[in-house]
Amino acid sequence: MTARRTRAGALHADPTRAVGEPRLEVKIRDRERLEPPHVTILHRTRAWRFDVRSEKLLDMEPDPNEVPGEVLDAVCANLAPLRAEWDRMFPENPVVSREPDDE
Amino acid sequence: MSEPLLLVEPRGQASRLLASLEAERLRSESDVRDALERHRRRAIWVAPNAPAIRLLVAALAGRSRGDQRLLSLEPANGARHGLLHAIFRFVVSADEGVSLLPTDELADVLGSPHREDLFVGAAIATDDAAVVLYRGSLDPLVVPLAWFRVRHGGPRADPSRLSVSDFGQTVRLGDYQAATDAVLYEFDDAYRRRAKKRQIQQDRSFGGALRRLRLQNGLYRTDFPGVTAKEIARIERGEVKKPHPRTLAAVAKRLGVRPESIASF
Repeated sequence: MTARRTRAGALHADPTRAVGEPRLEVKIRDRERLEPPHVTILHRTRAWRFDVRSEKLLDMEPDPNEVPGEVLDAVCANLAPLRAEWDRMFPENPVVSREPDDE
Repeated sequence: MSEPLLLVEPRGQASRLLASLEAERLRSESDVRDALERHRRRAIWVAPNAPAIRLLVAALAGRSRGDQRLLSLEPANGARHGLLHAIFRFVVSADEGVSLLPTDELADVLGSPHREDLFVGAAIATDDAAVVLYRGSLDPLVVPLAWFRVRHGGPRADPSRLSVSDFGQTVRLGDYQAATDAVLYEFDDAYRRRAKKRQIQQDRSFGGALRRLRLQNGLYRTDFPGVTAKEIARIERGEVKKPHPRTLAAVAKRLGVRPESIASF
């Protein structure tokens, strides 16, 4: 998986080489739902959020089984830089922090 | 997917880029009028070119009814703009200042069962410091420009380069990118409620069950005699794997259930 930033902006990783699917992208954008720290796997109109704390997919819809295993492998293999990137982008909600009370 | 999709394609004017779109094809004025009659409550009309707009106007002028919405891939400025707004409740068109998704991505968004949760276009209202985002259902959503706040060391949001990308899943202001999901979560109460509901349904942990049960009973974490709010919070977050039997008993008593049944909620 190759990753690049758009002028210190959103992280954009291209897992194309991993799966040969040109419409797949992995991103951390400048404005995300912040809970919990995650990367988003985008495929056309579908998206899966992958929690970089628990290393699990956050959403049951769309079906998590439809995420290519190679993409998950590529994300997991790059967890350290992805976590570092999240912390750089959102220092107020670092990967190592505990989730706040939500009441 | 609630609204029917109606693609206006006068004979000989079919759009290759919308060939894959699952929509009812309307070729003539009578097709258009029949469709209006059948979908009088609500429909999304797609006009890919100028002949399609002309056909629509000729067929529907003076006949508008219900909640009809138009996506025009052809600019509709001036008098025609006013005319279309008189016929349709919402008109999203490739006018000056409106940035639409590329047509092949538009087709995917319109065909998505969750098209209302994706954006098809965006426009900047500079004088009002706001961005207007158009959903796949063509409802507009207004977001203050200030919401696209700069992160420390991140790029500035550049309103002059506003666009929608990633099949409607990202709003871009130059190098700055915002997740559509984040926009909707913040500005659409119904979307946020749906997301919360899904989140709670997915949490199968004991803590999740306790939280659901507590909220169902309208209780605060401070409503458990003999158990501190902090302890309740820790259990709900999964930080206490095996709560003490005395704690469980107290919690269950307040909730009106047996301790062993909490996990079933």
